[in-house]
Order: sequence, then structure tokens, then C-alpha cells
Amino acid sequence: MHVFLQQLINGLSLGAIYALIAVGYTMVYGVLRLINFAHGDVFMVGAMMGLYVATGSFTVYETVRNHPLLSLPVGLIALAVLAVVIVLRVMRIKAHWALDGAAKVVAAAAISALVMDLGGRLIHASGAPSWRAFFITIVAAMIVCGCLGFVIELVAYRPLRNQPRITALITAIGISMFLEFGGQGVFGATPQHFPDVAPIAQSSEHVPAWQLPQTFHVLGVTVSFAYTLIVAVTLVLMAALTYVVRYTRTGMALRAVSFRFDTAALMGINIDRIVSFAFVLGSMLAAAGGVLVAVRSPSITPLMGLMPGIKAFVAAVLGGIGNIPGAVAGGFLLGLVEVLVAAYLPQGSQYRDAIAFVILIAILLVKPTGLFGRNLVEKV
Amino acid sequence: MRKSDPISLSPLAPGRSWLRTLLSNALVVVVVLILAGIGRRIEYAERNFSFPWFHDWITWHWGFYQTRMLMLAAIGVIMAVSLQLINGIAGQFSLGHAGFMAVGAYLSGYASSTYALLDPDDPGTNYENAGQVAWYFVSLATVVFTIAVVLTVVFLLLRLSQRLWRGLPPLLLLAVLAWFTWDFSAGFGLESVPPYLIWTKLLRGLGEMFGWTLAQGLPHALEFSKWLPAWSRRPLCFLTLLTGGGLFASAAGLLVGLPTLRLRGDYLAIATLGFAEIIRVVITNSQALGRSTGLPVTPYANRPDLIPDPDRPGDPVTHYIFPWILAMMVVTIVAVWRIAYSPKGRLIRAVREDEVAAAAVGISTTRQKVTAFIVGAFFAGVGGVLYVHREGYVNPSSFGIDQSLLYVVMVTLGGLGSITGAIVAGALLTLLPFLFRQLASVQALPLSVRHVFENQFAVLALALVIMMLVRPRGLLGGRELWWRRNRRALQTAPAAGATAT
Repeated sequence: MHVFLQQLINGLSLGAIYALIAVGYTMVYGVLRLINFAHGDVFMVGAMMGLYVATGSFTVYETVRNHPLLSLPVGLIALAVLAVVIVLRVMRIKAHWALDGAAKVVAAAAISALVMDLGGRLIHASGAPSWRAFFITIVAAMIVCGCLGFVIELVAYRPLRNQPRITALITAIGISMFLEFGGQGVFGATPQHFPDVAPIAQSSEHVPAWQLPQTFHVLGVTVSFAYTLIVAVTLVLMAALTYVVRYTRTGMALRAVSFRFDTAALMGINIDRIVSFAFVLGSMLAAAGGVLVAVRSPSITPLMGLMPGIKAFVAAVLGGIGNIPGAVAGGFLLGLVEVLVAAYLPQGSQYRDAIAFVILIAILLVKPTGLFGRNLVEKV
Repeated sequence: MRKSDPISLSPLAPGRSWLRTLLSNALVVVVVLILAGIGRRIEYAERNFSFPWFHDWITWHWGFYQTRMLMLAAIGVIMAVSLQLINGIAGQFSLGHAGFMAVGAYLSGYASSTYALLDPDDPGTNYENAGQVAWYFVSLATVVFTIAVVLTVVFLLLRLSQRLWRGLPPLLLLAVLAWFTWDFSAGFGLESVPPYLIWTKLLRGLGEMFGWTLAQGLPHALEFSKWLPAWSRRPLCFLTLLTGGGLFASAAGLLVGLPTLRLRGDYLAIATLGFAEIIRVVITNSQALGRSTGLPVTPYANRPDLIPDPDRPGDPVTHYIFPWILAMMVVTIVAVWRIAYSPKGRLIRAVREDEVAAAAVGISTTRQKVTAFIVGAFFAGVGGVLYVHREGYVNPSSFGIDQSLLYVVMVTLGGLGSITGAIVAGALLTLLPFLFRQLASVQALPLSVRHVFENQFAVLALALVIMMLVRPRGLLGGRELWWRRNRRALQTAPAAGATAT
């Protein structure tokens, strides 16, 4: 029983991360009927960006800043483009679509750079393991990955909206590979160590006054605090997401677009904006998942997004793809099953990766619409 | 079917005459066998390696590295063309092709590393033991067949139970799975299994049956190998390895194709990916197949007893395996072409274009899709056998998701539905990493450009994205290379399952 409760918390924390990523998959699928293969790699970028913010070393920015030649023009150009975009938006001037798109990309890059720099400075000033540092890391990673998701949708998926779905699928695969191998080139292929940002003591004996203990006891079971932190943050984010999706107009528009694409456009909903909104929301949650998983296991590599991405997709399918509460439930369920099977089956830890796929195939054979999905009748 | 029908491209007009079909196919087979050098007598008394064939000239004039690149490119073409049958012509979006390659590679690798040696004391007789290799495959086939029978019986019982109550099959399936899990975990590692642990007993029984069948037949198979004439032993052994690897890979293709029949594009992709990953995980956890460290296999016809000619340094492995690789590439291309541009191919393409309409016309969609999977997986297995016997070493990471995605990229880049496109893209994408690596070491280029070329897959991925944005139909756009514009191009369909929402 003792072991079971510990594995329960373990599984719930793993499932929380799968849930965060799965929500992104399911939102994009609900809106565009596209499996965004690159979503797992957005999760990886979130972890990497969290690393850079937490260590206060945003190397690209530092390099540009210290470069005698590039620093001034690049900064000026970034600010100028941002100003142009703001002016255009405020005065509602619609520039040529290509310029508009390029301006949006540069604006997203500028926002990311600014956020990373600011976050790094704040953490450097306030000292590493603290609640403030943890909060800043997560928020900075979320903003940067939101921008990344926005850019990916703008550049790769929006031009292909009227093409057959297989084209968009291949493009998604291409973006995923680009992020993985490009990440290997930019971040380096060796695993990097994520610093401790959450104020959790490293050992149970010596706990500084302003930190939380590593473990606490409930019902006679030793539970790791890090795991409960992950679950707690996930629940908070899910609550926020539920509020946005259910009680705001944009959320209602999102639901409308996922229900009927063409009719929503007829009702005056700006499809482009809603699709971007879905991508940004999903990417922000994935980035939060990236930072949280780094709290769980501090070694991050550029290829860490592949398997969790696929497993999160399985979780989304398990819950019923297109269905947000289903994705959350599927994520938690998959995490639980994976950890329990690894714990209780003989040599189960070697078959961890296969469990998810066995569940996937079983679900696709038995109930393809998932646990909570609705029956999609294919009309001739 | 008339002679003037533009779709038919065979040298002999395909009539309904079985003799004509047999002769036209036999012609291809004879050409292939001549290419493979079967029929040449190789004298083993000669200790000097100096029987040049055309590929030895290539090795001498271009170098060993370039010849290796050619062989890998040929294997890449085999993989791309076999995947084109599944993805392009049948319209099934399969992301698990490397799994079939792994099945062929590992099974044939294990067979040749354990059974291919005729005389254990003489390493010169490697790959001469056709009989024992064949018997290994036969005993494995009996085990697989038994498992298939058991699974079919279980499946049929589940279907029968549906008549009692509609919701019964999933519950029964869960019950059976739970029973199996409890049974297996209770009996795992026990020396003597109590009789009530039925599933564990069944599994152990299967293992014993395999061992018994093997033991019964191996001595007779050895006699058979020794009875074969000396010049035919090696080709027959390799032919057995190819056929065995291919057949087991196509069995895996059947296993993947049957459950995924009613899945649409996106789900099918992930399900096939899942199957390939399961295959890889099973291999990684199998002690006999070397786990993650891999399986060393003597390359085909590596003969340490041969003394190379000092004037013409060649490579025995290349000498013996290059014709086979070339021959199997030709066989793959011809077979997939003949299937694609035949009445059967029209049935398969009809299923791709509109499944509902095809079913309404009376085409068995199940049969066409499963055929595509089986044939595609067969040639993928053949590619795997060739790969492992050329490289001499295989580990599970060469058959992971990245490789499967690479094959899908090859097929899509060339144009879905175009066999020549798959050939071009398969060769190109196998050779490009080498090209990039060489470019990355060129001193004349600036450092930033060289750094770009070092991350070759990132550049390839970017090129793929740009290609999809600019020319989504692929390089050849679904057409074959030399078809003139006034011929009706076989257009690629919208993605299977692209329903309006």
C-alpha cells in the first residue's frame, strides 16, 4: 500500500505533464483537424528556455549585445519593427500580407528576446531557488513558447490550410525534425542540467528556513514535494484554461471553430486569430510542462520532446481527441498506467515506452473516439 | 485490357494467358539471376581473390567509400519504393516502415550469425549452410503460425460474444488481458510452472516447441546443405535469408495492416508508428537479439581465408553482396511497378481515391490495403536483410522513429504515387548526408556555413518544410519521370479521410 501510494503520486505527476502537452494537441486538432507533430518539440524548447532564464544566460542575446558591430543595429531594428507593428495595429492599417507576416515574426522574436533578458536579470538579482524565480521561469518560458507556436502556425500551417491534410502532416513532421536537430545544433546535443529554481531543499536533513522540505509525510507515506508541486501547478493552469475556454468570448469562439469551421467563419469569427490563439495557448501549456518536467528530472536534451510528445498524443487520443477535459483525463490516466505497470509488472520498466503504444492500439481498435469523444459519423 | 492501353508498360502485352504472364515474369527473374551472378561457378580451391565483376571495377576506380555509398543508396531506394506502394499508391499513411526493416534485419541476422556456418572449424564455409538457415525459418514459422491460430480463435470468440451483448467484447478483452497479466507476472521466472497458470505454460510450451522442431530438423538440414553442389550453396543460402526475412517482415505487415484497416489518415499514422516502436522495444529487451548493444553479424561472404590480390585490392564483402543489392533493387522496382500499373494496381488506387465509392463498386477495400502492406513490408524486410549483411552490425537505433520519418520524407519529396520519384528521392536523401558531411569539412567555406552543414538533418527538415510550402505535390508531382504531358497523370488524392467538417 505504501509503495502503491508513492507510485500513485509519481504517476500523477508524470500524468500531469502528459496532460499539459496533450491539451495542446487536442486544441490544435479540434480547430484544424491537424496532428501537430512539432508540439513535443515546443515542450523541449520550453524546457531549454526555462534553463536559459534560470541560469540568467541567454547566450544569443548576450552575444549580440556584446558584439561591437551587431548590438546597436539589431536592437534598433527590433524596436523599430515593434513600433511599426504597434502603430499599424493601432491605426488599423492592413499592410501587405507578406510584410505583415514578416513583421509578426520579428515582433514575436523581439518579445521573446526581451522577456528572456528581463527574466534572466530578475532571477539574477533575486537569487535562484525561490518562489519568485520559479514563477518567473515558468512565465518566461510560457511567453517565449507562445511566440514560437504563433510563428510556427503562421509560417508553416496557415499557407497550407486548403491543401490536403497529408501535406500539413508532412510539414509538421518537418518542423518537428527541424526543432530537434536544430536544437541539437543550437543548444548542443549533450544533456544540460537544469538549476534548482523551486525552493525545495535538496536533502531532508539540512533545510534552510525559507525553503520547503523535500518530502512530507501523509498517511504514513513519504511523498516527494516536487511531485505535488507539479500536480498543483498543472491543476492551476488547467483551471485557468477552463476559465478561458468556458467563460470568455474568445474561448467561446474557439469552441465554435472546433465544432464547425465554416459556419464559425460565417458568424463573423476571425478564424486566423482563433487558430493562432489555440496554438499560443497550447504552446504555453507545453512550455509550462517543459519547466515542470525539468523540476522532476533536471537533465534536459534537445531530443527530450520526442517520446513525451508521442505519449501525450496517445493520451489525447485516449481521452477523445478534440475534447479538452478528455485530454487532461487521458494524460493523467496514461501517466498512472505507465508508472504502475513499470512498478508492478516483472521487468516492466523496460517496457515503459511500449505501454503507451499498446494502449493506443487497444483504444483505436476498441473505441477510436476515445473515452470522452463523440461519435464522428462519416457521411458520404 | 488491350495492347493499345497506355497504362500497361510491360514488354509483352498482358493477355489473360497464364503462359504469357509466366513467361514475361520469368524473363525478369532470369535477368535478375544473371545480374546476381548465380550460375557462375566460384572455385573455392582458388585462394586468390581476383574474379572481377563490374562492381569490383567500381571499387577499384572510385574507392571503397563511394561503393559503400552506392550500396546504401540502393538499399534506400528499396525502402523508398516499398514505402511508396503503401503510402503513395494505396494511400495509407504508414509511419512505421523501419519496423518492418528491423524485423527482416534482425531475424535474418540472427539466423546467419547462428546457423550460416557450414563447418564450424573452417570460417571459409560461411554462408554455405542453406539448409539450417531454412530450417530455422521454418521452425520460427510454426511458432508464429500457432500464435496466429490462438489469436484468431480468441478474436473469433470475442466476436461471437458480441451476439450475447453488444458491450461484451471490450469487457472480455480487458478480462483476458488482466488474466494474462496476472498469470504472466505470477509465473515469471518460476522454475516449474504450476498447471493453473495457463498462459505462462502456453508461452513456455511455444518456446519448447520451437526448440524441439529446431532440434529435430537441424541435422537433416545440415546433410541437405552438404548434399548441395558447392557452387550453389552460397547463393541459395542468401536467397533463403532474403526470402525468410522478407516473409517474416510481411507477416509483421499483415499484423500491422489488419487492425488499422478502419483507421483514417492521422490515426493510421500514429498506429503504425506505435507498431514500429513496439517492435523496437521488443528487440531492445530480447537477450538473443543483443538488446540495445546490437547484434554483430558477419557481413555476407566475408572470407578471412581469401588472400586479396595486391595489384587489385578489392573487398570480398562488396564483391559478393553488391550484385545481390542491385538485383533486389531491380526486383523491388519491377515488382512494385508491375503491381501499381496493373489491374490490381487500379483496384488499390481506387481504394486510395475514394474508399466509399470503391466499396460501393464492389472492391474489397480490406484485401487491397492488406496487399499493399504485405508487399511493401516484404521488400522492406529484404532491404533490412541486405542492410545487416552489408554493415555487419545492427542495433535498434537504426530502426527508430527517425528512420521511419526519413523514409516518409523520401516518399513525399519524390511525389506520392510516383515510383521514379521514390527512386530519385530515396537515392538523393541517402546520399545527401554524406555530401553534407563532406561539405562541412571543406576548409574554403566560411565557418557559419560549415556549421549549417554539420546539422544536416536540420537542413533537410527545413528543405522539406520549404518544399511542402512551395510544391506540395513533391518533386515529380505524382507522375513518373518520362511520362509526357499529354498522358493522363495519375493524380494523388486528397489525404485519406479528409472529410469536410
